[in-house]
Amino acid sequence: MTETIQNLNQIFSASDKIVAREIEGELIIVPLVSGIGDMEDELFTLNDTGKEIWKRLDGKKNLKTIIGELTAEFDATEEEIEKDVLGLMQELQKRQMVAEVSAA
Amino acid sequence: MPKFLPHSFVDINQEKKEIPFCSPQLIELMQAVHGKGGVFRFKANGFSMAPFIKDGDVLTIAKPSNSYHIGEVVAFVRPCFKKLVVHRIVGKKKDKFLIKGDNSHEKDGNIPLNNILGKVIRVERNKRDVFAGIGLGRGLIAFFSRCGMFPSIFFLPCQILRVLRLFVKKG
Repeated sequence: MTETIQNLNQIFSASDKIVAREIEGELIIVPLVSGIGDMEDELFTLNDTGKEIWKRLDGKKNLKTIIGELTAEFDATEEEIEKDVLGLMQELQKRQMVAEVSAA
Repeated sequence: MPKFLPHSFVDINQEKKEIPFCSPQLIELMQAVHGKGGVFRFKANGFSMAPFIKDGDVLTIAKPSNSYHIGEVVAFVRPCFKKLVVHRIVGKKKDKFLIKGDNSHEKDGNIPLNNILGKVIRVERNKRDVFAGIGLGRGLIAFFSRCGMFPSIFFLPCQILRVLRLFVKKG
């Protein structure tokens, strides 16, 4: 069961149940479902901004740090960015594409 | 400052991404999936393995092995062109494999073991499994292919089938 992400001190990294590669500017995520990396029916993409969030999920930075970095880099308010980061993390966690490293 | 896209961007898109069959990126994805112990499933295109593997068939490739057998259909990287190819092993010499497309006149050459990314363990066509060409009889197919009897051996039956279909349509 997926819990709503509330704690910005949570740290995440890519799950070992997926393969992610950048192809032609898009981030392609191929989940490993029952041992099958399925390009035909189970393929996900993230656009440029989603990619920016994904790149920062290195298992070291917590969500608060990631939001701070994105706020400094992009033309949006911290509230907007926080909302979208948490929204994306919710989706990624629901699909088991990320794993929590620690809740420091 | 780059613009941060609004909420809609965070939707993860599940889509049919068309990654070219021969592309280095597909090779990289396959190797990454195999590296995690998985098998790789993707849509092939081309006609070089017809009639056993047709354009649009979905193939599943197992992770690389230390040995392969004559008759097995394998995914490999052509040494000079760095492109992904799926053809059949028709000969073997030490750690090199003579590979050829069933519907090709030319052989691919002697491919080193390290260039082989894995063998085809499943072929799906219109969401159904196809066993012809990768099951029993694959050794015989390899023999005929190596002798150069493929694709010409299919020419006459295909022509007969084509004529029969015309008769059926007219009738």
